[in-house]
Amino acid sequence: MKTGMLLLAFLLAMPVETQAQRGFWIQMGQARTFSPLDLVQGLLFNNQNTSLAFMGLGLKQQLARLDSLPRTGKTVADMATFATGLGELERAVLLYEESTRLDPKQHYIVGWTYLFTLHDYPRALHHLNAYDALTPDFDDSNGLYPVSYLKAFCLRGMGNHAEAVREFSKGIDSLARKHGSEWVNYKQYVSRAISYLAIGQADKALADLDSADKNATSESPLVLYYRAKAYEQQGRPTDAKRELQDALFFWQANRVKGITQPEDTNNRITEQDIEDALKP
Amino acid sequence: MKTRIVGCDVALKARQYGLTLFTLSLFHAFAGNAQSVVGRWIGVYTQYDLDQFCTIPVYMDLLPDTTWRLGLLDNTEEPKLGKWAALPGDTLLLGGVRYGPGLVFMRGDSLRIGLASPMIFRRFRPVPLNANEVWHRLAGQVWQSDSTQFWIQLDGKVGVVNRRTNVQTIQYAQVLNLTGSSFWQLRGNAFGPNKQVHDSRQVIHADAKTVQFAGWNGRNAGVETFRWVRAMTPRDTLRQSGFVSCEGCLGLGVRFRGYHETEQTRQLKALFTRQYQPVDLPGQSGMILVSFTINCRGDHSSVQLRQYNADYRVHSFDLRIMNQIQILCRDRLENEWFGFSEKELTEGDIAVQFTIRLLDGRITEVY
Repeated sequence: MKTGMLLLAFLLAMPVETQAQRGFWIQMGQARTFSPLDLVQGLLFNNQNTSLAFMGLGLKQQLARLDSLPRTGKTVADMATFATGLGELERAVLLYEESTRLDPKQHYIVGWTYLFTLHDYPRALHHLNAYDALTPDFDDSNGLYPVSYLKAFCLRGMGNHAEAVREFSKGIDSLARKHGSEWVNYKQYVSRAISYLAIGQADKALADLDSADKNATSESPLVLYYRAKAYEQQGRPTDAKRELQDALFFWQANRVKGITQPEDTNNRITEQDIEDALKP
Repeated sequence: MKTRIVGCDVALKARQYGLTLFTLSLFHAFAGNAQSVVGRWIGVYTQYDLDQFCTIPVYMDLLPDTTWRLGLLDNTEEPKLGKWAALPGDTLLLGGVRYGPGLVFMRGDSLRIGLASPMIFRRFRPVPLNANEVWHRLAGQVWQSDSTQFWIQLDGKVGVVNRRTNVQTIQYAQVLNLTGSSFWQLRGNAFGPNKQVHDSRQVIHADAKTVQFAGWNGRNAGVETFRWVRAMTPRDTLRQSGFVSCEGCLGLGVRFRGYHETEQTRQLKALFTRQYQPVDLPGQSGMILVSFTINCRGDHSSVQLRQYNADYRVHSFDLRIMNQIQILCRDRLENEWFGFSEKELTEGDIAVQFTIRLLDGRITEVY
């Protein structure tokens, strides 16, 4: 798919009139149609790109190209990523470790990969801690989420929700202090609420879900679903049922509006989850 | 001795048709010499990865009046038209696409465009052959190259048999006419003669016992000889061996699908967590990568399982674990549970991958 996606990007960048609506192409669940001649023209278009000349479309080709370059933390980490894509995990892991020896800043991407690609929470935490330790007085961020947020997911994956709450709080509190709580991404509040629920603190979870509700840009079935879970924990089945019914309604409404769902890949619920929760 | 002579003959013909094996060092950068690229070029192959090549079933004209034309050899689509120009600074313009220095290389009668997924063309050399006559020689007969046998029915259906593995693939053959020259093409699959071309080569010689082709045979670019084996008989039935992919090489239409972010993730987790019986086996930890492909008819390839221990070393889990996983994959994933809608399936092949994480014999995650 990777090669297909890349080629698709070039095809889509071509003038519209060159894209005959035949054959099939799929991206993000949408079918695009291209004829064989369009595909060849897409390849010709692709091959004008000099930056891609060094990247190529194939994972093996990219690995070989990187292997021929001087070994830096970045190139070795990139090699590891391609090896992971090829399913060569034994090689990938050796490369990930090598990349951090060459350049400690690679601990971030290595931690990220262990967390989100390999779901290896202890190793992810090890690398994210190492990255965080490079600047002990600063909660580093990749521009989207602070490193403490990623560490919290590691801890959550390891079943340590109390520690996860502490790490989630670092990111939330520092952002709220600097800019105000309205600038905290609602998903961070939801994440902390889930850990509060796991340690039986439904009242704190509800407070976080209220904050999340305020900051969400559209009606959030995710927030409503976990609010229902909090009410259930508090022994309020009627309130829980109402929240679940609302969650189902807004899930279906969001689908009609074309809003991507599930809304948070790190806290994934599906329509079926909501329907199952509504069953007596 | 005879074999050597034939070999030399083939090598000479390969050079004549611009099909010497290509390496970067053998090519010369296009030096802005307009005359050197004028003419008709025939697509040979494009390279997507170190080991992934696809035939490109097109011709490309660069006419002296600066007209650029890209057409399919089977002429089933209107050719793309545009302008071409050789610009200063080792730059070539083809149909509105500008190729800077180092992107277009020529060697003799071979043209290579691009480096990311290079496309190889060869200069067209007409070999007057009547396409109908060539087809009548081929059809209803069994032919073989060094590696492959072709069982060619009169209706165009072909059993392509790997001579080493004896695996048979169903495709459809035709012989095309391009300005008096003949081109052999194999396309489609067991489901019918679709637009996916697998093999596209010029016929440069045909007699009752041998037919020679110039082009890319899926492994090498060069001249390949098919030798007549025997006539097809009514007892010869074509039979696809195993799984059939709906998508061809060039189309790249396979969608790689994990079970991320979808309802299928939930169903998959439920399947393994409910059906798998945990076994208490300390140290049996790590991950199993599961992959298979579902084609546009809903058929599935065999399920591949790659096993790694907790330190990511290639590993073999205890049979008490693997037997269960294999049974679940075989009986549930392969035979009754796909989780994809009919619409999704008919849109093309779907490559599915997911991971099962294990800790001491228990499934901890499916993702």
